[in-house]
Amino acid sequence: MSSIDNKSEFKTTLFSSPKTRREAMKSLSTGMTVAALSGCVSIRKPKQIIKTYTHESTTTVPGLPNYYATSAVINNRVNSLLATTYEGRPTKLDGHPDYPENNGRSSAHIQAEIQQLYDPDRLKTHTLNGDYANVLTIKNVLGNISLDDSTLLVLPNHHSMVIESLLKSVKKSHVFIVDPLMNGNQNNAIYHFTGQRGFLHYNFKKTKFILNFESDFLGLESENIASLQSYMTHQSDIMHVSVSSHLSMTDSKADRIINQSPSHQREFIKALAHRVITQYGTEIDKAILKTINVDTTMVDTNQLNPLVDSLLSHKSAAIVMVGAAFESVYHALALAINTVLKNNGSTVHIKPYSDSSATIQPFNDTIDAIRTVFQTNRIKTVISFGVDLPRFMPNFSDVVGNALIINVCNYRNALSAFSAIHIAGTHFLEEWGLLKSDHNHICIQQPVIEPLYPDVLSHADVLTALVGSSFTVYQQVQTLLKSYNQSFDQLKSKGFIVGKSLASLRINKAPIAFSASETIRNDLTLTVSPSYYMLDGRYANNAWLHETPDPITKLTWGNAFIINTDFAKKNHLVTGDVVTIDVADARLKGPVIILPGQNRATISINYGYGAIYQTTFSGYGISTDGLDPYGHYPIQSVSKTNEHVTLADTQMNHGLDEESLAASGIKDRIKNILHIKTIAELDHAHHDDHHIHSLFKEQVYTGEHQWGMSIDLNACIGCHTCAVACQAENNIPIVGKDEVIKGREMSWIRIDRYFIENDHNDVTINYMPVACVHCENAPCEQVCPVNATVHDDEGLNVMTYNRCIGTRYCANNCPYKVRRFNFFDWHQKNPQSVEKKRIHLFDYFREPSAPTQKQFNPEVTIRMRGVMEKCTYCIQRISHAKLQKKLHGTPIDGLQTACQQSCPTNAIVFGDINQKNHPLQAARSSKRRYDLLQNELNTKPRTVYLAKIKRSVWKETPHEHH
Amino acid sequence: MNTINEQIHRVPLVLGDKSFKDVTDAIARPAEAKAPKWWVVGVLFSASVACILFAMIGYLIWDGVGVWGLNNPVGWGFAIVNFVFWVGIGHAGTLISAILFLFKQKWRTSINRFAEAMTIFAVICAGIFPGIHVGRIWLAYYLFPIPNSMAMWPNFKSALLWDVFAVSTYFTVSLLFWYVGLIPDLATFRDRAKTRVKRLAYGFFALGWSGSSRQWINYEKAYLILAAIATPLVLSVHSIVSFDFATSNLPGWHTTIFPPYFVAGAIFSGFAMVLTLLIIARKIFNLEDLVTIRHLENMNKFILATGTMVGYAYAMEFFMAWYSGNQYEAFAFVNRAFGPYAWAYWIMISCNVISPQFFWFRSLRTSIPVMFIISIFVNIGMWFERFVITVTSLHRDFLPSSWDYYTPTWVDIMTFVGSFGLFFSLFLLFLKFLPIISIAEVKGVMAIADPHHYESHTKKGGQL
Repeated sequence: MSSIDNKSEFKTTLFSSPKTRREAMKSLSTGMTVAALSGCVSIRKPKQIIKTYTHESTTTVPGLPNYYATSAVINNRVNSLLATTYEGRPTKLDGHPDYPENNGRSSAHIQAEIQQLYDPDRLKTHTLNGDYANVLTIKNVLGNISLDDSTLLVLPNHHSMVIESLLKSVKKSHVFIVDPLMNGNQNNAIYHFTGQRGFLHYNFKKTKFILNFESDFLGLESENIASLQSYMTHQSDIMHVSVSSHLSMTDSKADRIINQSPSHQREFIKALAHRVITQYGTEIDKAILKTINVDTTMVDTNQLNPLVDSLLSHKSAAIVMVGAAFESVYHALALAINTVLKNNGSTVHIKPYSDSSATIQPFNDTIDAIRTVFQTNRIKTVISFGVDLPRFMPNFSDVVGNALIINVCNYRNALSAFSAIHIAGTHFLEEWGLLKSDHNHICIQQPVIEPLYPDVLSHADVLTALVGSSFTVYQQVQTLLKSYNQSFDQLKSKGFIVGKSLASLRINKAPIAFSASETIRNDLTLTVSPSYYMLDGRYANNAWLHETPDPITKLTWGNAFIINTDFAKKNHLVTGDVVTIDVADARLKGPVIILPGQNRATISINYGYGAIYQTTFSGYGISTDGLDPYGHYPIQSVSKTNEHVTLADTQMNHGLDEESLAASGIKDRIKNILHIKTIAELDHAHHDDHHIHSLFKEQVYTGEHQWGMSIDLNACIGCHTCAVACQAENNIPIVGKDEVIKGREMSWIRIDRYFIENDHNDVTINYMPVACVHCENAPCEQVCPVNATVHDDEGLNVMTYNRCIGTRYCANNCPYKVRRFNFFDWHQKNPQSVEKKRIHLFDYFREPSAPTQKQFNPEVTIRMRGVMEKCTYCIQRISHAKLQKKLHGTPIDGLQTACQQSCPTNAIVFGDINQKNHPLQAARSSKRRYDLLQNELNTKPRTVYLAKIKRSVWKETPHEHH
Repeated sequence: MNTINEQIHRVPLVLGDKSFKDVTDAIARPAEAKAPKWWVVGVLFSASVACILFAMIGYLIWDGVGVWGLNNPVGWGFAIVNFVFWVGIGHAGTLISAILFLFKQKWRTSINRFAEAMTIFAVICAGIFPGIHVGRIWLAYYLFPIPNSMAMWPNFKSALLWDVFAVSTYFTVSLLFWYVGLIPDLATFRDRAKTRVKRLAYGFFALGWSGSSRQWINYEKAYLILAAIATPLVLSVHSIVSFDFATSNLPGWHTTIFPPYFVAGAIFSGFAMVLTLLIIARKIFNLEDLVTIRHLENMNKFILATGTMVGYAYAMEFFMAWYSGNQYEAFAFVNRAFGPYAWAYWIMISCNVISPQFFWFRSLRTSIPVMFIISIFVNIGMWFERFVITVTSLHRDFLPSSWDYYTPTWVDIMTFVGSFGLFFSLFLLFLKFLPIISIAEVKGVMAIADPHHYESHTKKGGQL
């Protein structure tokens, strides 16, 4: 070694240090020539200022994330959350692993909240009569508002403890909680029986039979994320019959779907109540039947009888559920049936709301009450905390008169036209607070980032200024906590305090008689339910959620009227035809989509679209303003217009409506794709493996870990949480409506939806998440001409973005079609992008807006246009886990992919397939396991699927499922 | 074959009692006379269309592959279709010049130059498309095995890489073959040149050809060797192009019949294109005596034969789809014929299988209008064949959830149209500045080239 010590490592070149003057001149002149030739060198040099730490932070290690507990009200459920932050920037939100209402799991909305935070369209400053107003001015205005009965406060939910305590000082004013997503009819029914406001809690552990009338209890109407997990755990013991007029996510888990129009369902519920209560109920129970008349011509006893039998044979182990769109009387009947059958107290629990002080009323009643307040009082000031009143109150200008309207909001909305003052609100990741869940858990809401815009105020800040409190919200949180005997610091790190479950309410009186018992014979009903992703429209500017396909229709960027095939044929409609639909309160106009499983006397529409905000992404879809978020409306007329639009669906519905060729093609292969089996078939499985041998020498995998995944199709409810989580984790861009129509969506994991039917009235909906399955014999690798996609020794099929030139051959040859190509620079094409500051001569580009740039996960490359991308099994997390193991000996077990971590039903398991006792082992050796397209192509996928189980509800199986 | 045989009266290859000088004059005239008006208009028009091509390529590079209509299941569309279409057209040239040369089919001499030129220009047009269809054009050089410090090589298992080699080899050999054949004629042009510029230009490319016996001996050897090298390429290049599809696992692509089927299709389309151009050129330049009806009829026979082979391949694909019992394969083909792209399939069938069948009749085979119309049909049909293979297989593969429909954009269409502009620009330049028929070779097959010609001079036209 010593002999070469003095030599330079590289051979002397023109650029190595010159030895003589002559050589020095030579290299100088060469340098000058090169510099002159390249020309742009001097222009390209970016002038940017890098700020360094003068005193290094002890808590922040560059490159390593910090996790903070916070919480939020999302879809009206309080969720304790864990925020992942890099150098002070939150980049991802997940459920808090210990929080009993989500167990670390999340929903698509939780995942998409990070997009809400960094949305560049957010209001950044306050305005007073259209002009900029600073915080002091605003606080002065707020401080001068008299808190008497001339002031009206409208709040979006009842969970904030800080707001609850502040509201004690505004008792004289009118305070309303306007919550369009609340299950108001159920709430009313409970009130009628118990005299208290509350909600239903289902105990699936004891449940053996569910008879469900359109309650989306695994979707929008779910109690919380934990209830989904509980259902999945006990699913194998539960027989689930769903009566529905339009398919929902919940129906994907039903063992039997009975297709009935809402009118027929009403009579069915009444007939069921009559049969059960007259036979088994007490005199008090029977009181409810007094005003109930059944039109027996609308009830099919062949369907009713076995259901009654099943209910009776599962006494105290069954649940009858009724969807939120049904009037209170039907909820009351269901409650009465559950009580008579002793389900109440066993499988069904009536829980009171945790904050009894709040005046929680159903949405419709609240709107009526607000109207009354305006009529009976001279309202001078209205302060709306993000509640967009004009959307819910037609003729709002007449109602409101010339009251001063203060609009606390994050975006300009319908109320903005009436508001003199706009107060720019915070995102929950920027504010302090304390939330109490419906199950009495207390969650700390701590900011994980300084407000992006210095002026913004939280709802609690505004209320504090309004009541003139001298305490900051931060101090108020501390004060409130004192009564809980919990150290503030501890709570900040733990995130929540587990509350004592409130005692269930008891039914101690016969309900007040209901009037709405007349038979409604609608030839055609419009059913309205909130959009799975827009909800009531609150996420109308969230591009991630806009581009998340609806689980039922697979539509992105808008909604459509879902119609039945026969109805379409009769009216000469095809998917995309624009119709106008008249109901009592409104006339709606928009395109139709023909969908299997839709009742022929029912047209369905999702609520929450249209121009909700005055922002970039709002304005897609059919506006449903004037209708209830949950509702059934008799349709007066449907008329076809001459217009036709192309819908942005991510999965064509080939044919199950029009094209018989495609339909038969799908029918033939569906059993090879989904492998749906009965338990008997599983137990007597005949192995029809072909034992295919590869012509190639197969790759040998020698790595220490061998990564694999399993996806349980029995557990998947099609909620797309995994897809949004993946988008947040892997910096997946959105492409916009036109590009989705072209078929260029980028999502790395897609949820395939398959309808299986034997006639148009008996259709099941089945989900199958598909991401890159990491084939051991990967077809994509063979064909890439530049070796840009290859295998590593741990079984990962990896993409080398730098090497990819974008021939798209790999995508063509991928039988799973999971590869996604960057047809454009999607970040530049995003309408929220901004012109890039020109650094060099040819710099005519756009880039993500400044806040959006903060949102990206720094661990994942942002792909440029022209390269192929796909699921990596979250390789950045794998590397991180391996590094942690190497450095600190941390076991690798904690490793989760983003989709797995977010999945509310634990359908996805990821890990080392060689590791003993890993849950993956159980999945891989399960009878239900199958490898997608393995028999066809010998791809040896590392992602395996667990087949969905088909069960017959009745022994005679009158309807054969395919 | 075409050896002297007193017993067999062969049809003369060159009509009219022409002397060597007549032939030279006739072929050199376009290059020496003032450019006719139609030519100027034609060049300006096709050059403007070619400009559209370059504008479209510029737009593509500036904005991204998304300006085309491609989507997730359909990763290849017009670009690949056009590539295979142009490469296919390029086939006739080499076939006529190399294979027919080796088989001593002397009738080829009047059309080989023309066909070879067409090959070169078609391959130029073809070569553009794989280059521009990639997502990151500026890195397309990764396709070549360039030694680098990271020891990164292309993937030699990929058919797309074989394609790069096959097409570039084919282009190089075709160009050489064409150029070597041109040398004696360039020397003729040089010798006849009236201006200094022309003399220098033709002289430069004539490589000092003097027509000595030694040069002729070397020339003939070189030409024979190049013909021998080019011959396997005729078969290999389109076989390899077909591997792009055949080595994948997509139903509708994954087919062993592809190599012969593609070669037959390529010859089919190549001959049709030569025919289209030749019919026009022989009319304009009054070359009816050199390019006779017999030439055209022979080409029509080729079209009939290869067209029928292609038809057989279509039928065989269907048979195999059924016989294999593979449901995905079966669906792919039924979907071709009756699915959303059925219109393209039936255009293909009627143009490629039905229209050449008219050539069974001698009267139709020798009718200029009929053969012109059929040649156009075949050109259209063969473009659609590639469209059907590429797009219909991709748009509905294994998992129905990914099925989608591909619609080309205006950029797709204008790029394709623009490639015709480039092709015709080059072709018109060729017509004006180069000998469009091989002077030296045609002279060799003329009646007066026969040493025994004068013995039987009384017979009109002589015999061969």
